[in-house]
Amino acid sequence: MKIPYAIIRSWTKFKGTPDELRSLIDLHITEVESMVENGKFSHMVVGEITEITPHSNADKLQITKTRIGDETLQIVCGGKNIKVGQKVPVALPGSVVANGMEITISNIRGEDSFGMLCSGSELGFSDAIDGVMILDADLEPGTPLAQVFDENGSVALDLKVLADRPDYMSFLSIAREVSASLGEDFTYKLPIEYTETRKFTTDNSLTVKKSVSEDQASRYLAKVVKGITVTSSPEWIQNILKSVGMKPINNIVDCANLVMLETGQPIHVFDLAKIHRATLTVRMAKANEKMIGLDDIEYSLTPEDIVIAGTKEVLAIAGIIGGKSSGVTESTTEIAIEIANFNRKTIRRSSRRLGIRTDASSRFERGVDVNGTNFALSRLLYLIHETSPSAQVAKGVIDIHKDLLPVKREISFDLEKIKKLCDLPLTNVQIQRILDRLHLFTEISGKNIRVTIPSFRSDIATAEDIAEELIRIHGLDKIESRFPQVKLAPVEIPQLMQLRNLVTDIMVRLGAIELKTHPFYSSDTKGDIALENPLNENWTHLKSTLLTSLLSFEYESELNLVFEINKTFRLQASEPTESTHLAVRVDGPSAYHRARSILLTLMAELGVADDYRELSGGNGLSLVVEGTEVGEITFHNPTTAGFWVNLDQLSPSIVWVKQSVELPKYPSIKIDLAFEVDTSIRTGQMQDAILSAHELVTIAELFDVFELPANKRSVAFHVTLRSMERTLTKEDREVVQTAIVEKLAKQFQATLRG
Amino acid sequence: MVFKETLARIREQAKKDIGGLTSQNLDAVKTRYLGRKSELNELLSRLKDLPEGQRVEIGKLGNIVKKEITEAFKKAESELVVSSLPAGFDPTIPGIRLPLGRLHPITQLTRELVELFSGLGFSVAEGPEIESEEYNFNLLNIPPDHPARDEWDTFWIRRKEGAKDNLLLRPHTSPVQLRYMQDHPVPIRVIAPGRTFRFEAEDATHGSVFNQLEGLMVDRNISVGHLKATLEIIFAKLLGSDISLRLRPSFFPFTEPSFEVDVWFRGEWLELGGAGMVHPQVLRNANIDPDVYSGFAFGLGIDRLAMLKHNIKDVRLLLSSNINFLNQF
Repeated sequence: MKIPYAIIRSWTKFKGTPDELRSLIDLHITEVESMVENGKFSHMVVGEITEITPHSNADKLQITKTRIGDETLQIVCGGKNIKVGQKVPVALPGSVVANGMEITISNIRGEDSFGMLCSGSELGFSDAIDGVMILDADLEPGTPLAQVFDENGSVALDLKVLADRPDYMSFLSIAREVSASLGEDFTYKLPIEYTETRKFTTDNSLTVKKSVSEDQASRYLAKVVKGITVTSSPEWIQNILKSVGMKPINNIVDCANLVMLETGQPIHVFDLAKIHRATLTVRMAKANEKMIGLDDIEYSLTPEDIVIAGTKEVLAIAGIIGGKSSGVTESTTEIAIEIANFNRKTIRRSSRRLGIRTDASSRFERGVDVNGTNFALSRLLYLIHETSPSAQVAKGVIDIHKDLLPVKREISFDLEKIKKLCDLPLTNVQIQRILDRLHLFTEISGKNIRVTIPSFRSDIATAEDIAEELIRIHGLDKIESRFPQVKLAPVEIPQLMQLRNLVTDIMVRLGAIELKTHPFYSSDTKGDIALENPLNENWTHLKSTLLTSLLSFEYESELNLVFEINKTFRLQASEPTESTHLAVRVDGPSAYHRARSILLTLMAELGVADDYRELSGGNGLSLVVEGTEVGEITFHNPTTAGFWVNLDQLSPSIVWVKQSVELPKYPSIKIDLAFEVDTSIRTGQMQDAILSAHELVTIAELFDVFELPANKRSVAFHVTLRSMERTLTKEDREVVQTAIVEKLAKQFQATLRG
Repeated sequence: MVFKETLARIREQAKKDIGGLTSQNLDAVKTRYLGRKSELNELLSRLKDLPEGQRVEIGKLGNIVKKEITEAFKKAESELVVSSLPAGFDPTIPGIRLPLGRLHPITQLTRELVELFSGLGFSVAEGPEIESEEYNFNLLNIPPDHPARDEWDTFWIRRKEGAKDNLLLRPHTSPVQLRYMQDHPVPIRVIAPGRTFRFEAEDATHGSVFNQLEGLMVDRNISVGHLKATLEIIFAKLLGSDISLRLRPSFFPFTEPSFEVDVWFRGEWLELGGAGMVHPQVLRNANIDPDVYSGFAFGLGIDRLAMLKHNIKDVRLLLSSNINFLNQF
């Protein structure tokens, strides 16, 4: 919502600069999203000439480097009077100089030029001397020209409209809040009284029928004005509209728009002569009914849309946009003014479906004060009378409504409660003064406060709402920080988070880099969850696996170890479920074997008894813990492998507190054994066989594998023998070795090498 | 004068032996002359048997000899090491930077925040990433068709025809507040860090997937001053004690009053979060009596904080799987 700085200056006692106003509104009212300058100095700033060089292709031109704040631009200039160090007016691309020329980025005889250094006459000063205008040397480069020439009148502040404050879409509310924030009463009154120059000669020759439920159109007020002259509106109205970015059209439309800006009440004006039989019906649209809007776009309607229809056709989509056929034009002489209140949910849905958001719809969908119609009408009649003195206003007014919300309501509560909630050191008198200035009139008796809420403050219902009014107007900076006094209590960390931390730390100790990726991919896997509104075609589903995308990354370096711990998503019995996975990608020589070693180390470190089953494709293993498959390790290519583990499923098997075991008293014996086997033999099974060959075998560790001719392979293990009871002998060693060799010969036709 | 003579002999012998020191006999020579059971030590320990006059004189002499031998040995030992260096040893050989495992910057910052808040007695909670419309919006006082919903551009989950609830990817961590309040007795002190999602085209400053940290405290007499103090201490610990904090008026349907939280950092005010006092209706939705209890709540953007802290210019790098980027933290 844009509000002109000039309005605040003339309606309130605020005396500061636009920047000071911005800060006041930021700290007490709402966020100022930006400052807009739509006046004649829009996109014009102070520049400092830092360099001048001749133009090689044009004798009369020079090339300047001109600094405008942080940036320095190349600008080609024809003025003879410029010197390095001078401060000059710079018109940037997008600006329009006095002769109407729009400045663009251009190339002047082979040199780029990113703006124009202006003469006085190009800025619209009639008494200007020739050449580039030289400004005060003290000016800071980058300062908007509007500030230099004190033309702040055209600056507007763009405010964030808080969702509970529809009234922020009116100048009156913002001005009232600015006054309260300054500690002043808001006394400004918009002129609405006027003297008739002509007697009423018309009655209210219009019929309005309402055939929608009360909650769709809680109020419909209509008034006829005849004898009007449609011309362009006076400069002061045009200036206000321009400064908030609206295009002036004609006096009637501009006045209606101005009243909407001032009061927040959207207004629609029909050309009465174009309403067949002067009859309007407020109804729901018929399916596929069409209307061409004032924006020349044809809208296709549904029975969900409220419309204002003539006897034959739709004349306006209620609360959103008027129709072209009944709009006010230069030839209009009589009008029907509509000031209504439509259902905000309906307007919101229609406006979204039709893909059009107007100044009216954005107000209606937030909620317009149902009691604001009459004031808006008075103000509009005043302005029409001002801009078209010949106007003849009809005597009566059509005002269709049932029970309206009361103009005022009251709430009362314990004042101490909000003083405590907000740490407010305010006296009752200060409290009353702040609320009165917001037109929230109060009565305090003892601890109790009673507040009268006008209907335009639909947001206020509770003591907490009043608390907010008090602290923000008083100043949030005045609240003193203080630490809460609380009982000691142990801090709880969720088990899943502890598990993630544990696994993450082990992976990092193993040298892995943690990644985070988007949860989206495209998938045709059954059971994957689809998004109703994906951002793009590659992100249509939620990942049920992290490993797939991890493996899809292209890495320059050949030695990588990366992992991700995140949620994965799947449908189970049609209901979405989440589970936390670890995915690891290993790149480099013997990638699969390294991945196996990492998985083994991780499981050992977590104290999990891991078991593995070969995948049917032979490309990897599934990880089995306590009889359940909880992960998978797979070969991808000779230098890439990966695995994933479902951490939720793994969680119950983890040993959180490590237990000490007795250290061996007697030395161990190590034997190195190399076997020749067929390449079809699984090394993992050989290892299992060695471990179970004799009770003295405690460790069997693969240390060398290489291929031999004729589909044979050499597989070598370090075997460790140990007893907890005695020192082992040479004989033990021989017995065990024989047992291993015989077992492997029998089971795998393995022969001991050299 | 047996003592004197023995000392002289030991001294001569040690000189000779140290002169012929090799890496092989180094330990033996050290034990022989300087060990606890060396002849020299034995001798000195017997000094107490001597008459007083001699004791002092011999004692002095003994210490001189011991010092002499010790220094000679040290010198010889260090010469030995130098002479045993491999030929052409180059102490300037350049080191290679070894690859280290690393935590993602978001993980690092989340851990830091969890630690800071734990220090103030805040527990940690987590909630589902696929959330129901009920918890994400309705129970947080954001009814359907309310313009406030525009603040949360939401990814919706495609549902089977006739499914009970509307489901979505949570666009904020606030539903965890409700879930936690429903499951835990007052007093409540909890934070909920987690991943959040917005239906929003990505650019250098906007991600569709990001991380928030929700905070909640509910007890008797919790006030805006408490909120301010808590946030101040956290930001000071996180960004340095020279920051300052300000609250600005705002609106969130689940807090009243509501504030934007700005922090003055490196010469400008930065909007780092939203906060407010828990709305009485939200307390009621969690079966907490708003006439007895009050609470504050806040939400901080973890990604934005990480970007500030590490001077990251493009938020998209955080989910980019770019190793060169991640190796910087």
